[in-house]
Parts: sequence; structure tokens; C-alpha cells
Amino acid sequence: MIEIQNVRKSFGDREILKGIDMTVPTGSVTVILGPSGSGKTTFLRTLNFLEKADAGQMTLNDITVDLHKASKKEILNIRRHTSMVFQMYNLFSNMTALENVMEGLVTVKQMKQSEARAKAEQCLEAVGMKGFEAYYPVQLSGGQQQRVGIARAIAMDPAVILFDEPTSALEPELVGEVLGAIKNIAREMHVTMIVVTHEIAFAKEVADQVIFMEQGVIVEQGTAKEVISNPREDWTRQFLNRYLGQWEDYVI
Amino acid sequence: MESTSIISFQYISGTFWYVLGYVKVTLWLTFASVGFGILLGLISSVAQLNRIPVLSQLADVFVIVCRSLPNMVLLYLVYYGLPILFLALEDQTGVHVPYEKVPVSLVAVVGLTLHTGAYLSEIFRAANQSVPKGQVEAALAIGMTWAQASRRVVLPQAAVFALPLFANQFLNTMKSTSIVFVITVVELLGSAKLYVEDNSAYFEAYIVVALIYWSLGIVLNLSLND
Repeated sequence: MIEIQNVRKSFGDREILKGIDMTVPTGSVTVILGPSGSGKTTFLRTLNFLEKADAGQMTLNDITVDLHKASKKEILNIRRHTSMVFQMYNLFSNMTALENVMEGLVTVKQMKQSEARAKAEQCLEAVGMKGFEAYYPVQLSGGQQQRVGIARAIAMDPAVILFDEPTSALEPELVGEVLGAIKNIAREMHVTMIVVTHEIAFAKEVADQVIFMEQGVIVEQGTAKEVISNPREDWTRQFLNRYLGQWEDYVI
Repeated sequence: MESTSIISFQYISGTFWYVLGYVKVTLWLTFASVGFGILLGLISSVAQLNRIPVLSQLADVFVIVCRSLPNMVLLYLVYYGLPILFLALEDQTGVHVPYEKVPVSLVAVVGLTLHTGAYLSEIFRAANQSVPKGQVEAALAIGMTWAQASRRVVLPQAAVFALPLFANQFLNTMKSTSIVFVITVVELLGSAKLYVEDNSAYFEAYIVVALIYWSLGIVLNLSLND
């Protein structure tokens, strides 16, 4: 169980996060929707200290940390219990797909090479990347790179995986394979996930909880059915219309 | 016979044997300056990259000044300036720095190091910044320490970026050693100048010097490419 309380963050005069609270049950998938600039990504990045919050508290299983005042040791501890999948994949260019997944196991978890290799191979297989072990990131398509990124994240056995717009940088025809991989992991491994995305269909299908953010606050929150099919707030309705409207255009 | 030939092989071999002994001065100036330059460049680029207070401002000034000044001007400044600084220091504090015992080749190394260090600092900084920041974030996000991320992700990629530029700077410094004669250090070119004073066979002397620089360049280039 993850409990997040009162996360605040400003960049200069601009208040990006105005006090975000969230509870994520273990093994569940939480999808955060919202227009660009609403603070979704910043929120996610405060959780593993890639961005330092101005205030806030997080309880991750039995660890409680202050998101503003955490010590270096606490930060490292939280990072070792979380993983992140990035919009731009951020694979290590000097390593093959397999080495990318092994890196954390060897350097952080100090696993033996042979064990790490076996585990990394398993993880690559779980995201459908068996056979690509020896490829370097530049030799892979965006969708393939992102799946390696997902394998790198699950290999660490994190208490939660943070997905930061995992498909936003992908060409439309590659989005499916990545969402498919995330879906598989959610269903088969029951990893706790917080996913920031614009893919409403994915949210509808996979999310246990959908949160709608706008201008640094949570405006609506509930099951996928409640938020997406029966939005109560104008904000949410407008947003959904815009995105769903787009999809209707594609169908025509 | 001698009056009809364009160049005299006798002078060529004469110069060659005379200047050969000074090749080691050129090499020692080069290696010492590049060695200290690496140290200086590392300190300066790390200070700049991490925005260490005071040190990073000093590094900014150092880089912009030493890159803008011609190396020869820098050498003159060091050669004539250091004794004055030490004298002023002695006036103020009574501490006597025995600068008059410092060999002039060491002063040349200081001048060359300042120049080389400024360029290397820029090379190291650019190499570091050539590694996308996202990869460092990815490394931190899986729980690596900053040092682990630097060693495992940034350095290997930065090194690939920096190596050709470093090799270039190495050659530049080697060639720059040819100007230290202006502050009385006798190295390869300086020794040739001394040699021709007796016989005025300038062309022969400079052919020999050029050939030696050329072969040094080839050897350095080959050893850096491996």
C-alpha cells in the first residue's frame, strides 16, 4: 500500500502541485489522466526524488519519508524500492538490451552475473523482447526500447513502478505493443503501478483507479467506469471529449 | 658541387644529430603539460558541471581567459609575471619563494599547462554533457548512487566522445612546445635555431625539424588511437 499526502511543488512563482493526496493499494493499477501541464509528470517525479517536492509525505509499505526533507540514505532506499519507466525510454546507450536490464541487478542488488543474466532474460521475455538481448538501444525501434525500459524496471522487483507517459513519444502503430506489455505485467505479476498517460482506452481496460488532474489538483477520482464513463466534473468531460473526439476522427 | 645543389645533405644530417638530443625536451614539455593539463581540466570541468561555489566561477574565468590568450602571450605573462608576484608576496609577508632556482623549463610547463588545461576543461565538460541527462536519471531511478551512475553510465560514453578531441589537443600541445624558445627554453625548434646560427642553412634545419615533428605526431596519433 502506498499513501501519498499533500505533495506540493512550485517552479519559481508557478505552483505546479497544490497538495496531492493519493492512496494506491498493493497490486493495483492507478492511472493519472489530465491535460498537459497539469502536473502529472512532476508529481510522479517527486515520488522518487528526481524532483524535490516543497512538501509532502509518502508511505511505501513500511517506509515513511518526507518528500521535501528526506536524507540521502532515505532517498536511495526509496529509489531501491521503486522503478520508473520514462517517456524517452532513457536506456543506457553504452549497454545492450540485456546489459540494460542486468545493470541494476549487478550494481545495485549486487547479484552474481549468472543470476542477473538469467533474471534479465526472463524479464525481457516477459515484455516480448526475447531474441533482442544483444541489441544496442540505437538498433531498436521506439516501442522495443520502451519494452526494454519496462523490463529494466520490473527486474528490480520494485514495490511500485512509476510510468511517465510511456507511449507519448511513440509512433501510433508502436503504442499497442508497449501498452500490451504493461497490461501483461499488471495482470500476471500484480505489480503496483502508477501510470501517467493520455491513453484513455488503456485506462478504461487496465486501471483499478483513475485519477484526473488539472492545474495541480485532483479534480476527480474513482474507478475507471466512474471517471471515464460517467465523469461528474466539467474539466474531465471536456478533456475526455477532446481525446475521444480525436479517436472518432481516426475512425472516419 | 656544393654551390649547385638546392639543399645540402651534409647540413641535414648535421642538424639531425644536433637537434635529436632536444627531442626529449619537447617530449617532456608535452607530457608534463598534458599531464598537469588533464588534472587542471578535470578540476575545472567538475567545478563547472557541479556548480561548486567559488571554484566554478574561478573555473569560468580561467577557461575564458586562457582560451582567449595566445599561448605565447600566456608564456610571457607567466615568465615575467611570476617573479613579480613572488617578489610582491615577499614584500607583504616576508616569505621568500626561491623562484630564481626554478628551472625555466618548469615555467614553460606552467604556461603550456594553463593553455592545455583550459582546452581540456572544455573537452571534458562537453563530453560529460554529451551523455543525455535522462540516462543519469534512469540510473538514479533504479537506485544507483551518483558515483555509480557516473562510473557505469556517464564515463564510458563521455570517454568515447572525448578521446578524438583529446588526441587533437595532445598534438596541439606538442606543437605549441615549439614557442617556448621565446622564454629561453631550448627544445627541438630552439636547438635548430641555435645550430643554424653557425652555418645559415635554414632550409635544411627546418626540414629536419618538420620531419621530426611529423614523425612524433604519427607516433602519438597511433598510440592514442589504440
